[in-house]
Amino acid sequence: MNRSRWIRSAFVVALVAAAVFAVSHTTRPAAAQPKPATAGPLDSAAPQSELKVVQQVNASIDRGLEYLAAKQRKDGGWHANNAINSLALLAFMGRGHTPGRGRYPDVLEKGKKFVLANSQDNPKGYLAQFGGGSMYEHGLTTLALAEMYGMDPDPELETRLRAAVTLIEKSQSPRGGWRYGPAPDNQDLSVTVMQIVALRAANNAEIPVSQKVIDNAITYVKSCNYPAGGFGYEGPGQGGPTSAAGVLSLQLLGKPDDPGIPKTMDYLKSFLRATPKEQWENHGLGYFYYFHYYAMQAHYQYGGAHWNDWHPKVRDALLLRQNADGSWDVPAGSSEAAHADPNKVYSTAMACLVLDIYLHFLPAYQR
Amino acid sequence: MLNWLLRQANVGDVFLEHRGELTYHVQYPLAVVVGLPLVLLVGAGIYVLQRRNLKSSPRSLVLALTICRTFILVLLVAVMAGPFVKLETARENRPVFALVFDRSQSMDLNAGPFSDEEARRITQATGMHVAEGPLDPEMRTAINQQSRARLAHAAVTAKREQLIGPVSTRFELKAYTFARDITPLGVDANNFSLPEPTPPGGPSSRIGDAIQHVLKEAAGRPVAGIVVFTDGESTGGITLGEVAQVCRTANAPVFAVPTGAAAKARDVSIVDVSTSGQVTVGDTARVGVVLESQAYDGKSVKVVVRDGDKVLDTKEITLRSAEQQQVELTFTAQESGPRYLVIEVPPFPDEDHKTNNTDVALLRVSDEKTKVLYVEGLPRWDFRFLKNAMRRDTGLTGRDGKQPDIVLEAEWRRKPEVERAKALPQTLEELAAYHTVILGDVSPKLLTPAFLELLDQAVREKGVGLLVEVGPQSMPHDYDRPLLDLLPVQIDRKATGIYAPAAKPFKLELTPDGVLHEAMQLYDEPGRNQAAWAQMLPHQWCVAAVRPSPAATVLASNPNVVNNYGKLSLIAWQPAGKGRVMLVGTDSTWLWRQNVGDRFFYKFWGQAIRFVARTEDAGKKKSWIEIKPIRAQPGEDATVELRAYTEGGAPVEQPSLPVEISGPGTRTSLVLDADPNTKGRYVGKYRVPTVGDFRFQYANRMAEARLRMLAAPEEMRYPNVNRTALKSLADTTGGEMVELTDPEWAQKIVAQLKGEPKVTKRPPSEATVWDNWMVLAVLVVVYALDVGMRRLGGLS
Repeated sequence: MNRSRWIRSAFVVALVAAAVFAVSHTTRPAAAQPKPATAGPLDSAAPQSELKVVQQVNASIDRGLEYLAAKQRKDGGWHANNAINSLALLAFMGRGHTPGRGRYPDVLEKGKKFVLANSQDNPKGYLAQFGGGSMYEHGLTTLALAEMYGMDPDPELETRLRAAVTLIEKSQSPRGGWRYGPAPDNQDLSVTVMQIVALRAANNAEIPVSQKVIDNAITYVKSCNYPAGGFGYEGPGQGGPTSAAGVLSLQLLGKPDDPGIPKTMDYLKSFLRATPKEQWENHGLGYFYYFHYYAMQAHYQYGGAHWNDWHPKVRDALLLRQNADGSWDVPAGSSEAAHADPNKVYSTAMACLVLDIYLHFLPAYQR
Repeated sequence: MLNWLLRQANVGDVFLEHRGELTYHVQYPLAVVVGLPLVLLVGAGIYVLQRRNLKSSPRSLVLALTICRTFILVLLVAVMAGPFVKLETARENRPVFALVFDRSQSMDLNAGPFSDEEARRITQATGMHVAEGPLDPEMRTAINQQSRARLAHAAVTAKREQLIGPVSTRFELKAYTFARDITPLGVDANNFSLPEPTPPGGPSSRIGDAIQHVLKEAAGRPVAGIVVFTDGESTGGITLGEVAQVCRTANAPVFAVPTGAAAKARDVSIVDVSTSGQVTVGDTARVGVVLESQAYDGKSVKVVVRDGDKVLDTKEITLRSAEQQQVELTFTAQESGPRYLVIEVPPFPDEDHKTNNTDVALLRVSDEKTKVLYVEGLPRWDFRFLKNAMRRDTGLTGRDGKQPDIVLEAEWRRKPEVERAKALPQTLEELAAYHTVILGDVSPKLLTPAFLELLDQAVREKGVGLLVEVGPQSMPHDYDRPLLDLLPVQIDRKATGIYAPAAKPFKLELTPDGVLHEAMQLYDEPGRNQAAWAQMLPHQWCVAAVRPSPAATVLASNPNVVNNYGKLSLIAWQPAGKGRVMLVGTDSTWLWRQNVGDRFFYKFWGQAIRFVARTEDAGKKKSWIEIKPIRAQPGEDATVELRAYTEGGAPVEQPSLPVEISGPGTRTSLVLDADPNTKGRYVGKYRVPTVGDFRFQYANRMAEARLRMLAAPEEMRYPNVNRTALKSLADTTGGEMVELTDPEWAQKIVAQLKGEPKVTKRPPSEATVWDNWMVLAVLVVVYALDVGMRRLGGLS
């Protein structure tokens, strides 16, 4: 009996133990889990621009700058004439490329160094490389350095810029204008406008410019005003380039409401053609790019209906005539063709500068 | 019964739903193969033993006892074998084919004008049968005047056999309608029908968001195609360009179906209005208006700006359809407070759309000028543009009441020592005379520790506002406390900023706080505002900010630079004592001038200068109300902000204040709650029910503001169908733009849809069936039966 009870008890215990063992050591088969769905990567692209014309202009300038960058020599220059080098530098800056950053930091740095190293600096501050007719060079180079100043902390740039501004002040003639050489002996409006633009840019950078120089310049420019509208080369007269130069000069000298301006703006309408093709081929100008460089700025500063009517035709003419390699030629009939460099740096830089007006980046273009 | 048993065995519902597909298995078959024969042997042995030991007991009892014990052993073997049920199912994955219908308000416009030939084809597309020969004039009118939404509906309904029929077994059909939000349409591919598009449409068109929603809902499944019926004008959300890239990456072609004529409507539209934002009483305010026109070349129109019924200025312009035209209107601001200006171009009698000839703009006119001191290091471009814009801003002045005071370190260091020492304010009183101080990239040579202590005091104790624009020369890494403590970001002082890789410049991204912040408002409409910021050019350099300060609000960040604290804070502000400090973490905000000049550049800076500006003491304050946005659409909320002052100029301190609202068929009161952080400020929300002008008044016209409810002005700005955008969307995504005038439009789409259904076997699901109370109960019952039988048999 006791033996039976022992066997039965043992059997029960074994059963229970087996059951417990079975429970604790039986793994539950894992329930299948659905694979979580994963969404593909969501890339984001740059947003589309609203205005097709803005895209066209930007793309055109970019091609032009690619061309200019490719033509820059290893020494940083494009040409022996600093005016052309400076126009190239301004074209890059007008598109928003600044020293030390972005796509063309080396282009600007090397270009600046070349310009500074290849200036006569005699008299002190003189930024031209060539002899006669060099105040064109000096004015444009001063402008380029003035635009670069503040974005490039190079102390030499500041020193040379200040000296250049002082030279311009000292070279002003008694009548208030400037002429080819760095001496206060003569004046004409086409050189004068370049010095005025340079002084305005320097003044915008808070480099002091003598009020007397400004006042005398105003007097001289006004003396070139033709009563029926227009500005002449050395006195009252008409002509496309000088008229545009005269208007812009007064605007930048703080006289946008001068009574000589409205009639001149109406006079300048005579240089508008019906189609972009005619604007290029039938321009009737002695200096095509010189004229449009100043005329575009003058119209922008003037604004209103004149600006609305002017800029599309000039813009479309340039867009139409850009070469496949990004460069621009000098149109037939313009005297600039005789002086144009074979690399087309002058014409390409000027065309870019005219189109740069739309971007509103260059401080010199501010209203 | 089986269901019940399985349920008691704790198998999941999914097994019960697929009971027919269940299979039964054991985990350890060996236990069965070896155990069961063993058990049978043991059982036989038990019977023999029982028979021997229980000779006096009936055979049936012995047999029963043997069966009990054998059964228990069998149960044990069964448990040890680990029985389970298995479910294997297959799933068919069909690519998604989506129809997306634009149901914004512009889709209520007429689909025409179609030419005769186009109109004939449209009749075919919409399933109408017409006789040969010229179309009946009534028929042509009906076709031209049907709404764009109705045209889409009719076209799809007419072509459902060609569009839906062939794909119903291949793809999973989805349909949606969208305006600002997207709503699924419950459609059945086998019994396809669409609800009628009843007007009015929604207040904005977010085409990109709608397409993106379709992709999200597809949740990784292939998308055979997305067909979008729309007029192509997206007025909010992500751009078509962005969503096109998303679709291309996801291999989801978009088929764009323009739902309107290609011919441009006869229309003059105000597409943009901007003001100088803030002026002072007596100043000349400027309102810039941008127009687009079609079919009225050479005609003159007058552009008028009004304040209420008073005409402030009028300008005439000769229309030209080739591109946008701008005109500037000016007037002298005479009354202070927020002025709601209405800009109008009287419509031509034969204009197709007249609702887009009006817009509104907000101009804030203050009684006093904001005194500003701007200190900069070198004349960088931001300085040149900002100081000129500030000089033109007649609402700003310096301590002497003329123009803002500007100190440029590059000129300062050329002055004699005596003059240099006096360049900046020397006492707290002098410095606290300014409302705002702006610091550019100035070196510690000019911003001496003594001056910075003074500045800290001025900000914290006097509430002077501080606006800091960083730069790579010195600001702010060359500085220490107290300036760094004022800033709303903590910086890495070892770094002079962060330069972007040339190929990947830094973008600026608005934060949710930035979207609503007054300094970041380039447009009044949030969608347009975000789009404007998203299109800004990227930057090449930014401050080396590590994290925002604890009290800072980040308004914009740099998504290209991320650390443990998140995206780099690019524009942020924080309160500092009584004052506010804002940091602009890049040095090239001049990039915001691209193509628009000062428009956005100075809107930001002018607003930022005023946002941080010290507020005057009470005694000079008048109550005012401001509504944001100043134009809204029915169903949208407008935020109402009231600044309430007593006649003595002290802020009114109440838990809440009421504002009376009157408008078309409405006269009600809205209770505004007090802002606990700003005395005298009360805020609330109001949902305006209908189109019209609404007036908000506080305390019997002590303060007043207006809200103009327009019928979806964004929708009507560009009323023509934008085929260019739709073609670009379709081409980029590998789809096609198809015209409803093409009789084969539906077949063309179907022929290009990609993908086939794919059957995928799901991994099997398994569930054990022994570890439950039933098995234990059986064990207990059988054992109890054994014990009971023994007792009853007198065996124990």
